Amino acid sequence: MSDKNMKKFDKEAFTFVNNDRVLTDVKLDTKPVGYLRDAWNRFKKNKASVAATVIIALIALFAIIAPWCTPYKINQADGYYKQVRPKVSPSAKGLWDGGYNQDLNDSGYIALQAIAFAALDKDGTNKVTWDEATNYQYNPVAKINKTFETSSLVGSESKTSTFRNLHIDSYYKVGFVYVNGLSKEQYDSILAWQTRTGKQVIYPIVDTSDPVVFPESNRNDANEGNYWYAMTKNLTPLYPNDPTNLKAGYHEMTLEEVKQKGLWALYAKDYARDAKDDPYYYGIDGTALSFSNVAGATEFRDVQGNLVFRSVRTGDVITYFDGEGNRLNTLEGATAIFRNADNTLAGAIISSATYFNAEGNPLTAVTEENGNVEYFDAANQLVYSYNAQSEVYSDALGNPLRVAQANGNVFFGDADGRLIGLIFSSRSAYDQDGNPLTVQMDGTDVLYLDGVGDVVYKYVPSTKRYYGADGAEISPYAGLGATYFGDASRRFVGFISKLGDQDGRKIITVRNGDDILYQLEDGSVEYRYIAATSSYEDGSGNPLVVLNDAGNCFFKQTDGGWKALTFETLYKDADGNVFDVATQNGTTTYSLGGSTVYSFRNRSYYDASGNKLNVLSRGQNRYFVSESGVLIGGLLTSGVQYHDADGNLLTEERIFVNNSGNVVPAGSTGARLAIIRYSRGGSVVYTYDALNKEYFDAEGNELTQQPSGGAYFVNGQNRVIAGIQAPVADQIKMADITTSGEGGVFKNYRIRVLYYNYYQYLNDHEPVFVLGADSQGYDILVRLAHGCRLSLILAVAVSLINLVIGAIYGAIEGYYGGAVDMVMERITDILAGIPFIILVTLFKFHLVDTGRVSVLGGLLFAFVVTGWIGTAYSTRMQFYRFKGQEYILAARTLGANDFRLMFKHIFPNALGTLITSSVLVIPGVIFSETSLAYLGIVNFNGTNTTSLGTMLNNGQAAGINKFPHIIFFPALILSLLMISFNLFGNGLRDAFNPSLRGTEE
Amino acid sequence: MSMIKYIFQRILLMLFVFAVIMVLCFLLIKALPIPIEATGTAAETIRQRYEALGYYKPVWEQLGILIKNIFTKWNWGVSTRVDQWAPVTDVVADRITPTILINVYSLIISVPLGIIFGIFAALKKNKWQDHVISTGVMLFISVPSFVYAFLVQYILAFKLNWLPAICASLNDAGNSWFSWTMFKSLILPVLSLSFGTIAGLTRSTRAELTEALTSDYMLLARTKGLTRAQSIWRHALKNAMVPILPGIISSFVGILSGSFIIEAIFAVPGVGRLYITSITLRDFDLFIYVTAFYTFIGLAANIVIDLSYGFLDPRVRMGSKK
Repeated sequence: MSDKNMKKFDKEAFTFVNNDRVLTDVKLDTKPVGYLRDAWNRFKKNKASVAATVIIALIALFAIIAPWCTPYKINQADGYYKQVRPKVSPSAKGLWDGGYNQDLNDSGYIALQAIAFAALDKDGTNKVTWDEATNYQYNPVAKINKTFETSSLVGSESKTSTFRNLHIDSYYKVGFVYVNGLSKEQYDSILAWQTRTGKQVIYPIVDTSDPVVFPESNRNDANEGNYWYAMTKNLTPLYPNDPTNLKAGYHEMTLEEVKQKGLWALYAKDYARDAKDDPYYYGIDGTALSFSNVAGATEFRDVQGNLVFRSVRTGDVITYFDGEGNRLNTLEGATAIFRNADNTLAGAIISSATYFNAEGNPLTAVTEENGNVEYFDAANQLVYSYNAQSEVYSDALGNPLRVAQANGNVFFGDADGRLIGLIFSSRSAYDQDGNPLTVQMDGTDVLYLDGVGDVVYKYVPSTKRYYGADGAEISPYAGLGATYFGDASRRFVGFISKLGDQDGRKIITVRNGDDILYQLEDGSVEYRYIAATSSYEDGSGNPLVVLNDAGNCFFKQTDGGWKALTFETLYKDADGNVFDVATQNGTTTYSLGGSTVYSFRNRSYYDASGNKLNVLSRGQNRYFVSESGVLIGGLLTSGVQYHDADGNLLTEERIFVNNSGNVVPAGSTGARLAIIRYSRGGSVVYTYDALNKEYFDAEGNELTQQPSGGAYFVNGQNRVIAGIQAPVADQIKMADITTSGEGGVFKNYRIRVLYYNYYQYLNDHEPVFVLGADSQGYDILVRLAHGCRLSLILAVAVSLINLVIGAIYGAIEGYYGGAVDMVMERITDILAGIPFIILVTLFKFHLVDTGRVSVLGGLLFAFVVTGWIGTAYSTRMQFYRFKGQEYILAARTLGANDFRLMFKHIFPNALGTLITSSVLVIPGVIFSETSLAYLGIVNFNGTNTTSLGTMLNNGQAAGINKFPHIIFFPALILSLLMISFNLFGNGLRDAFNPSLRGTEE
Repeated sequence: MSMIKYIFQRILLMLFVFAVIMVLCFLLIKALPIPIEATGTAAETIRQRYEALGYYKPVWEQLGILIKNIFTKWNWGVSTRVDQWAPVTDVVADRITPTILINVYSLIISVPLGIIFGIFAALKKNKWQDHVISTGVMLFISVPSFVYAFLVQYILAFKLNWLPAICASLNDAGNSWFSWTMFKSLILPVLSLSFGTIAGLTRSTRAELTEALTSDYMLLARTKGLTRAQSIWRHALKNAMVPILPGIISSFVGILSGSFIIEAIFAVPGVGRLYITSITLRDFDLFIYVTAFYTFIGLAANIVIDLSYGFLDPRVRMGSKK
């Protein structure tokens, strides 16, 4: 090639060898991923954690939204639908249909069917057939699961009865209830609703007057509305033997009979009509009184508008005043008050308690406003007075009286309750020489003092130990069946026991005829038992007293002598004379001067002639004693006396008959109260027929009794001087009219409603509790949502607060180290050592119970006080780990201050563990809160608040076997929450610290 | 020698902490007013007894008296509400047997079961047995013990009627805590208590054993010629057990405090229920005594756990500092 060829090259001579568009050097297009995004990527891969997060989100969503999905509010409770089962919708069938299974016998089955019978029977004509009732919607029995027979022992014969396992709808089971206190407007609006919707709410009223077919036990029973047919008190249905003649009696029906004939209805016979237009109360002279509520008091005025009476209510007590403002004595304890057709007072039978003093003289009691009572005798002299505030009785001169203690004393009275005798017991203490000792209490210790006032013995009941005069402990001789003797003046002489006598010498027992001789080894007689007198003598024939009373103690001295503490119970009569008491063959005799006064055998007391004595019951009686224990007076209550409206005393005479109708004495077998006659001055004034519960006057005319709701006022002589008589009500078929209210509108209606329809009238929807109702009638779904809210909010709040406090505390500890660390560690040790329950309890006592903080606040405090310790510890660990790293040193050299180093450089290393542990705190808090509420230490129960633990507690109290749904749903939600949070926490930990994966702690 | 010194130091520290906690609790509890639940003369009697017991003296004086009583006579006071005027030590002594019984039974069941399940799960790691056991563990750890107690009571006692629902009274069981009737009635509470412990032990055993199985010395053992079973038994298990044993002790303490709820559900007359009652009834002396009891056990268990770490693991003994 030549040079000039080298200088010129053609462009076309050149061809691209490598014309790739594709670069082999690929630019890295993965961006650097931040810490959190990296963790999130890892977290997503863990399926369990993702599922757990979803569940938590769902529960939180439930907690927020659920209250809007049900028609119930958190504070809405329905008392009749307590503990009903979950029902998804009104017409649900199958699992969530609000029903439960129960075994019932025939009567129970009939009782449920009866609800359907009555619901179909809208006008009370009772023409419903069994099949109609079975297929009716309101029949609580949804299904008969199975029928079986069981035999049971009744008395000595075995009886088979049929039982059915029924599936019962808990909503329809409520049946009928009585609703009181409706005004006329409310009554009319129910009627209007009935016509508009076609659903019957008000059903006929039941006639409950005949106790044969409507047992007294059914009255005021929760199920009273459902007792509309004739039944016995065991709910067995009754049917008249002759439907046209009810006096022919009733017989019990079998199930077959019920299916054929139906049930015997007890509806009241009158038809619906407005009640008598009677707005007035009446005075006892027949004047009409209208009343109104003025400034908290009720005023009664006559037709001219003059104020006649005024009543003020404070708490349970109503005080009445007349027109001038004088206080009126309200009559208490009226047995019956009678009224004429013109509303004047016809008469009354009034009872009052009678008082006697110890001698049997009657006393009259006058009670004052402040409760003090004064007792006057027949001559109107003051005998006793009682101060209600200090509860002290005083005599006529005002000296306080000592009331005898009840124990050990027996009081005998005659048939009218007058005291005729008594046995008064008192216990005295003696030392070994027979000197009496005074008993004194020193705190809980008992001291025995001698005549000078020095302590001789001391007894400590809690340790059951005795101490001598010098304070040293002395131990009583351990008897081993010893018999202790004292001489006639109770001086301790000695004893005989299996171990020997008081000096330790062996005793040989020798029979001498009927007597027993206790001899020493050398043959000398030390003690002798004389069978004839049942007494002991010493060797020389001196009589000995046995000192084996309970509580006696004998202390052996080091010098061989003996000290003793003996007790003696003395029995005295009313004058203070001491009885000689002797027991022989099970009879105890109390004698004075050799002659028996009282004797006691077979648990009864007898007088000297052997007549049985009446022991006065101690309840209302008071006996006054002097210092030495002598009876000085008494205030005895015995029974009642009767008087009429004028204050005249009536004598009461009770006549008893037996089953055949013959008059028999009271108390004989089969005796039944038939008639009570009240007489004055020998002639009968009123007669009471116990069977029909009616009163008759002297001529035999039936008397109208005054209904309740009025008041009567008496003067000092117990004469009725004025009164407010309530208007008489008419019984009508559809509703009862009772009187109360204001101004001229006095009617309050009492109706019997089918509760399912009444509920719809009140609430515009059928009762449907999706998760059932708890023991107070609250809807469980709403409560559960609120409970979740509370628990979750509490847990999250605790977690956050602990996180902040713990992180800062741990950072300071870990960063500074040395002395700071040691002191802070000690503080944490102490705080950590306090058991958690104590903290909660102390906070509860000091803050919550005194009302300064709410329950939630108190619990929050308790959690926060020690909860941060774990976080602080792990932060401290992290700090120690990273404190020595070189980049920290570098940053410090560059001039970073402490704070910046702590929180910008070291702290982010710990972020992962911190977040994980704070999330894992949440299930711990929920668990603690549930446990505490479950144990009852913390109580969130309120009309507007509840928590998961409280719901569990309520469910536990309701009974797991009877109402499992109350505990089941909160337990389910709790379990889901706990499991999900734990899985979530695990997932977080794996996401933030993949190097720890698999170690799991 | 330094070991002894270390133990001594720890014990002193524990006593100091104990004393501080007790004084704190005492002061706080005595600051509360004492309720008198009676009226009239009965209230007066009660008030006088309280005064005799010294409840109305200033708090420091009461503290001094209590300390003096404890150290000279071991007299912790009398129970005023739970067991009328009985000494507090007696009241607790009566009730401690069932609590200890339940806890011991529970430990006897749960420790072997937990360890066995853990070993099984670790050996079959990532197979279906492991997954079943791990799920079970997760379930039993998360859900509180009383939910299980309620489930177990409902199903086993009410529905199936296999076991009595609550603990039998001492009378019914023939006056002995060890009779068969008593044992049968205690099965349910012991079972409910054990679930949590078994789950915890399983989890930690599985974790430790897994880590031990994947370590280098296991590889060496296998290459040496030991069979799988031999290498696991002789090497892996021993190493894995080291952290487990302190865990067992701490679970004993956990059971002791967890038995509050179980005792309440199954009506076991033990110390836990007594504690709750003393709190709700404000029986101060009893409260202090039982608090002291539980605090002491908790702190002592802490020391034992720490010391057992040192005892079992020579590495810790040699003093590898944190």
